[in-house]
Amino acid sequence: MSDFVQLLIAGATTGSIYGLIGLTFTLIYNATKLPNFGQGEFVMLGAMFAVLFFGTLALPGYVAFPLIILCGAIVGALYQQIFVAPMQRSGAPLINQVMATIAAAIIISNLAAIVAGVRQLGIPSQFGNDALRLGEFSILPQSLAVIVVTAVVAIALWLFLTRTTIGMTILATGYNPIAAQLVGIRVSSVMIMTFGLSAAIATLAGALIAPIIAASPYMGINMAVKGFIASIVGGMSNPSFALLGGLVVGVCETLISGYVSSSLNEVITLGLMMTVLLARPNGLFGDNR
Amino acid sequence: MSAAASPRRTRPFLVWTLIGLALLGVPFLKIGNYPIEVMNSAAISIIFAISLNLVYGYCGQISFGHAGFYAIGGYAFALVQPYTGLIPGLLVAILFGALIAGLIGLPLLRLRGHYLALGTLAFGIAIQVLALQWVDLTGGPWGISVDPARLFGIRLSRNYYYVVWFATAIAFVLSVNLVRSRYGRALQIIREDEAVAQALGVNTVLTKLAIFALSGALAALAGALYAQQNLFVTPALFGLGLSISPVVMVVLGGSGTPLGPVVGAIILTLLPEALHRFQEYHVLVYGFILLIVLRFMPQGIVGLISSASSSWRKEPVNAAPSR
Repeated sequence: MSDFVQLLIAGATTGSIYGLIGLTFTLIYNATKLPNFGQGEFVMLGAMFAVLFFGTLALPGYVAFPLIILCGAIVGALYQQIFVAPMQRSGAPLINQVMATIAAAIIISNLAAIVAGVRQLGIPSQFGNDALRLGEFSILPQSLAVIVVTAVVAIALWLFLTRTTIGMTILATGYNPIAAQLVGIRVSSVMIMTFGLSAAIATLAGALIAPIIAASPYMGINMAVKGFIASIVGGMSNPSFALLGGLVVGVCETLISGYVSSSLNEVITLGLMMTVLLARPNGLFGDNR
Repeated sequence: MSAAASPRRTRPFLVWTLIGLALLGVPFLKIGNYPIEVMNSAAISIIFAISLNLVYGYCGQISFGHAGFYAIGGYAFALVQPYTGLIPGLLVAILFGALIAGLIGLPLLRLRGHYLALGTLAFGIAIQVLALQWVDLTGGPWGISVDPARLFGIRLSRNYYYVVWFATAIAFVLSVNLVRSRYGRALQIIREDEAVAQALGVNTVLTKLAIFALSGALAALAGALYAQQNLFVTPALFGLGLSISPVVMVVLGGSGTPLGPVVGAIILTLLPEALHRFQEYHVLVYGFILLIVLRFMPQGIVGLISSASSSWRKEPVNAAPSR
């Protein structure tokens, strides 16, 4: 029983990260109908920023975290301007736009490899290494931070999207860009903002996992795939479904590696995604009627 | 009619005969083994790109997981070749490629657009993970080595070139004839509009599955030929970059054109050779090429040339009485 709970805690930690990535992925998907294969590169850059700010520059957390989020937002806005907007303006078919995001992912990860080298870069946890004990269970402060930050981000994002005017313009643009333009929303700015917001959250996710899994320039595509799987399993129609999907995937992964074997865990996750795609194409939590 | 058409029909025939003879003569040139190996790589890339062009260029079904079929071909060949020799090994690889593509296509091809992109991407990653983890079969990260090529008991070495280019010629002729057939036109209707294809009586499920299986078989053939050339297979060879490369080749050359994959594959094989300094950055160069082509010439090189030449010919063609 205790093992089981311990595995659940580990699963919730990785699941939170997958969920955060999935959430940022669906945020862009819902605003632009574009599955952004470059999403994982934001996570990779977040981990790299964490290595730079915490490791190399040794900045305190209250300076470094806002800086990382700010850098993420700028990266996201630039990404939209360089890789997405020109394709959309030229009226390219969606599949070409998707391929352009793959090209973007290749370019960003390989540039990062030139700058940072291909080795894995580890950093110590910003929250200490002494496990917190709750009765017979224990949890590392970094894991707790991941879970808490994920919950806070999810709630803040939900409030932002449903309670503020700017947030509602993002939702409105996603539902119907032409109607949004007709009521006076500047769609091009909303797109930049959506990418900035999405990338900011993704870089934060990257900074949070850097101490758990080492940062490396080619980690992005794996992160993107985990994010896709999370959002497909949960449902692409709503960012919160993606978050739940991420938790399901994370918990499944750790339970399988805990009780069966860790070696085929990725294949099983991909199998889970295929099953969901075929049986419930709009996700476990989406509307499948 | 036939008298008027014959010079237009014999000229391409002449051109192809000359190209064929030139290719046959290459191993007799006084060049080292390295240029021959580069030629072989180009030929293998052509087969791989043709395989993707059939399923994406003509049928409109994107795949970001073709490295999976390439890997299946490579491993099937590496496992069988020491016992059966070269040709049966290639046939086994083709068979396995078609079989797995058929099995995986059955669920995958129900997906559309970017869901298919994700599903195939996941397939490619899953195959690489399997190759890494299924140590008993694949040797895990250490891989499997392949015996040097022999044909009828004779060691091939430099003449392996003929095997590779013969396979490439077959793949090319097959794909060209296929897309001109009734079945090929059905593929292209599916690409334009699946509902229209159904309304016209095309069995879209079976058609897509068949082209996916054929594409998987060709990709596996490319993988097997590569395994023989490389004498070694290991999971590291079959990463995401390998799945992206045929997509870049097809888009650069011109997707949905018979010559597009050939042109794209030759350029992308020779480019890293020409730019020796960029050897370690060739994936980065791929990324930039893909982006620039998608943005500025989405119809690819062959598409660009043929649309330019048809607009140049437009006047005389329309002026002449057509029938």
